[in-house]
Amino acid sequence: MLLNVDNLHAAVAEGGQPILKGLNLQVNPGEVHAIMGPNGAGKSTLSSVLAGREDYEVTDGNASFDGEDLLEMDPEERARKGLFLAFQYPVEIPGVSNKLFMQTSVNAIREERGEPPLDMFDFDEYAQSRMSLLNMHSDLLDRSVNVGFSGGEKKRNDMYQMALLEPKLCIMDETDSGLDIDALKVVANGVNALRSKERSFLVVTHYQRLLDYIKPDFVHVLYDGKIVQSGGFELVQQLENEGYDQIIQSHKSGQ
Amino acid sequence: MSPKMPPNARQLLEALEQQSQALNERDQDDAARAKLVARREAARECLNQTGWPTRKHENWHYTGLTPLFESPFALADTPDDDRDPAETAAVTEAMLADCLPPFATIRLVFVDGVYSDSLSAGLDAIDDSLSIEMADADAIQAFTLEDLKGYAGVQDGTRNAARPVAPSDQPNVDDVFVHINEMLLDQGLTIRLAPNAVLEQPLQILQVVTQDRKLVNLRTQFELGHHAQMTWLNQVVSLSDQPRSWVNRLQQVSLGEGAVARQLDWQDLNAQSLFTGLTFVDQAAHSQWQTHSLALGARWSRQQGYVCLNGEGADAEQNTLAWVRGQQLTDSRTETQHGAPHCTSRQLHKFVVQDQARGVFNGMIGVARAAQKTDGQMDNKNLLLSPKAKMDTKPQLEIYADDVACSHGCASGEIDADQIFYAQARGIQRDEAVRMITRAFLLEPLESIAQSAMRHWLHDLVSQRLAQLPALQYLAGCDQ
Repeated sequence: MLLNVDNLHAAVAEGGQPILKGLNLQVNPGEVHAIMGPNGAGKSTLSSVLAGREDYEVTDGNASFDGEDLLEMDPEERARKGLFLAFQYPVEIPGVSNKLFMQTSVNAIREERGEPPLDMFDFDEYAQSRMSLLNMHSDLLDRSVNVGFSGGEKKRNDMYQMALLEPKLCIMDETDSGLDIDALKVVANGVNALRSKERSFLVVTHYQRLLDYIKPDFVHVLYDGKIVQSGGFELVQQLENEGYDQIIQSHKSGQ
Repeated sequence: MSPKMPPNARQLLEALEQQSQALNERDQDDAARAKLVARREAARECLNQTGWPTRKHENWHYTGLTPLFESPFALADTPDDDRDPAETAAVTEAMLADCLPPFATIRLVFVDGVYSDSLSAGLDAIDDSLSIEMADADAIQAFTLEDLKGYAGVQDGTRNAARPVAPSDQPNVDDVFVHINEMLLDQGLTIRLAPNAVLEQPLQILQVVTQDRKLVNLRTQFELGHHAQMTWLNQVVSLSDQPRSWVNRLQQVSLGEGAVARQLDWQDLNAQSLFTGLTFVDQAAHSQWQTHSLALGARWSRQQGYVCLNGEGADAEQNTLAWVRGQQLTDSRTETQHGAPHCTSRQLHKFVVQDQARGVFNGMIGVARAAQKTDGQMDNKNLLLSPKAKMDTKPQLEIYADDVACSHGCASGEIDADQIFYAQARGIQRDEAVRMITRAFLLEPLESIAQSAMRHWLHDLVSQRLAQLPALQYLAGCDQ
């Protein structure tokens, strides 16, 4: 098992408000899981906790990644071991070029894998080779990280980073929010191009539209910090027709 | 009757005055130096009346002089005979390696203020259009504080403004370092470039200081004829951690019509030393002035640039790149006076402040009534890397014309935690992320250096320094 989340409880670090309240999730290599849920269910918190953001504190439960205790690791260690977070709002870093940023990043991950670092020329070649995958403009590498990018360009840049880093698990934190249909297709194409028997995805989203293009193997509904229902792709269809209300109601009455 | 001051401040003042008197005694029988003797006396009189500025003086409120008073200073010793000062101070070219760029320059090296023939190089590139005069009594006398009076502040019919820009022979506490420079004036360097001449190689003026508890008092004048063009690189460096030196430099730059001057000002004194620097720039029509000040060292430093755009269509660009750490205090200030129409001025001053260090910025843009269509912009951005780091900043505008576009902005803050997390989420270690972001922040002002060899060299030098950025308190705080 690649990711095993067991009875995970997490609260906002400042103030202690509980968000995740006993979440269980198992992801095997090659599987694509979708996490859906209404606003405030804890979707982004789940992504943040798995990636190691300090804004949240784990109060109970466990999470292991590739057999190791994920929650003990620093964010950079998680990334080095193959966990990738595509941000809901990719961050701008003025003055740091994509080239420098990603060369440093790629070499950090290569170091973890015991591979020699790529020099400027080898990295350039590698970076160019991955560019066509996401229709990136060739001047991307010389521009500052996400500075002056449109919302769609930022998400695409995150997808491009994912392609360069070849992670084991890709967590997509509402990557589709704020994207028009064309940008959404680019993101979906990027994901589909990177799908493999070894690589898993956790697609966190509020809308079904992205999932229409990605076709997840498993769909989970997150509500009030727990997964309240799981199923296959047909669950997406059901949610589209009925909304979250029915599932939430049956969950509440079952309590 | 001089004002009240603490004993160590008085001690320093008296020591400097005695030095001035000693110079005058030496020169009293030299008729060629009679004017110089009189000027030293006049400056001494001014200083006697004003004393040192204190924190009660507005322009010194954030820049207390206490570190200056920690020990007395005497004028740097000069070799008795014609010996090369490099020999006396045991400075070799190998010791200058970090200061020498990987491109050709006309290199003038001074050791403790005295020209070193053995360390200087590239003088073959000097042709008839460039004149360099050193330590010549006539040359020193040729530029006086009278000249600096041309640097009048904004005029709105009468003399406006809280105080005139130019140092005057009236005692003014803001001008103490001008008066000290004048009072101890002995060595001078005058650079003249003939009209229409273009100096291909940068002129490198490398000031090395080696003597403990000694003051190196420098006076430099640049005169560019109309449409002349040159770049110079000023460096003030200590070669070891030991000597506590004080460099007091006064520069005067005069740009003829259409002249283009670019200055790189590299201050890298050790953590005991002090630096006071004043640069007065007088610009004729359509001239261009560009300066990048890199303030990397010194226990305590204060650099001031006064730029007067006196001719139509002149352009001035002033930038600071300051890395302030440990117990340092680094003060950078500019006063930009638009005196003619259609002039432009651009400024970007960036400070990275860490540990218990303090940065001070003060920038004033003045626009005279006649200076319509002025376009002036000034930005000061500061990155604070520790909870105890402090930045005091004060941008000011004073505008008497009605058709101008002027702006000033300043922002101080910590590194954005989201930026660090974003880098971490890509496998980049926290310290490395901080270095990367800090470097990018600090190097931005270098981007406007047009000569790529110069830009790359400075870029690499500063980057290498920042690679030593130690574990930061700011980060320790976050890990808790």
